[in-house]
Amino acid sequence: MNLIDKYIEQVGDNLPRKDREDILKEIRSIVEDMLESRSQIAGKPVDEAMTIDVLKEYGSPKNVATSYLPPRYLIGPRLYPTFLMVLKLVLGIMALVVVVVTAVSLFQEPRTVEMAVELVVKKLVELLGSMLSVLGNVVFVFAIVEWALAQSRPENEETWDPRSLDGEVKTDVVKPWSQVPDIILTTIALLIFNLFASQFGATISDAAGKQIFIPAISNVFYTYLPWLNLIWVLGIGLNLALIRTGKWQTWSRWFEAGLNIAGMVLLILMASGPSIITDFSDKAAMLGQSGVELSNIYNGISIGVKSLLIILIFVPVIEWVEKGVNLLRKK
Amino acid sequence: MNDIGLESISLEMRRGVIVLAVLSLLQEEQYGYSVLKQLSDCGMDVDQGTLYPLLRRLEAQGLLQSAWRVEEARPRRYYLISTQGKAALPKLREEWNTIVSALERISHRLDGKNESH
Repeated sequence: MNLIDKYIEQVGDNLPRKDREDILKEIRSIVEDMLESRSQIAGKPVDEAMTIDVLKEYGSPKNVATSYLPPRYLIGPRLYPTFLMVLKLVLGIMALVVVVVTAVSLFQEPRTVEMAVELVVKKLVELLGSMLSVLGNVVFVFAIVEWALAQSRPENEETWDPRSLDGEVKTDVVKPWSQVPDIILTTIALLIFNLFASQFGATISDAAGKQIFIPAISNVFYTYLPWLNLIWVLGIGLNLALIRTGKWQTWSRWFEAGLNIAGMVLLILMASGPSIITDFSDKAAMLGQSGVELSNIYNGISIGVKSLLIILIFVPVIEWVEKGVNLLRKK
Repeated sequence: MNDIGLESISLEMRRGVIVLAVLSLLQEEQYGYSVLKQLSDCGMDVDQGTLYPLLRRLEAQGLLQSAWRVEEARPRRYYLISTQGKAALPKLREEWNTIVSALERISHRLDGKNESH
């Protein structure tokens, strides 16, 4: 294999399959044209030194291949400033909450210096893990929004006809700060349920006087948590895209509908499945009177949570039915 | 400003007009390397990494058409301005003339101010 063949092969390694053969054929043709021209000027046949000069002038294989590729972004320039802002906000809030919680834990009960350092290191390691997880989620959401924005086409000014506007004024405009409360509340929910859910609970003394912490949230909840996280993160992404575009569009309406349906499915599963509140009624008696009392409290909370879930399911259903009836009446 | 900065700005300015130059040249059918040589002969040195991908992009946009010719010493891809390109060319030229006129007016205005000082 001669130098030109090797060069062409290396350029090809960095090109996408589509058009690769055609581009390589053209590059070979151009390189041979350049060599022919040099040979005529030099008054001597093509040699290795001439070939090296021409290939060097043409450019390194990687750079040549890159010049044929369109710009590709995971998160493009138009979304990047918003991405950075959201990341700083979310990571900042996470760090602040962990600092506050750690400080409260440090002063809550007497600890030795070694125990304090151990607690701080443990919280820092947990914080780092959580930050990496949140970073991944935020990048994922923005990558989806970037892809969605790239798919949307600007309206064709030449073919658009004002007579196609219907009589109703649509509430499609999104004011920049209208989505911020939603973003903040969703971020807080993400932080609370991912970082602190395991800390909700009560400490009781068993019959032997030993302190036992009984978490309020059962393991069942953590099977739903990844899906909740996904819906919340996608919801934040949608809100950010709405802020960026300034209006609701067909794709964002469908995206919201998809998120609402996914949320509804999750609510139904949570309401109909095992309780997300810890049920330790079978072991309560072994823990003494305080155990029985706590078990009753948790059971009461469980009933309340299930009732709330049922309300959260039926209220939107009633709203959708009302909207459907109104639409039918208008027609 | 250092030389690299100046060169970078100079390259950006050339990139802005290269489409007009290429469409003008390709009113006559030519292959890639001959386009590069002609631009260079006319005083517009263009990087190969800029020109050849640009020819493909202009073809993808419908402003050029191309065809492989295999009857010569080696297969060559020949480019020619398309019907759409022919329609776009006068508009681009008009745009260019507008820009040049505007720059001349700006330059004369500044010259006038400098003279009065």
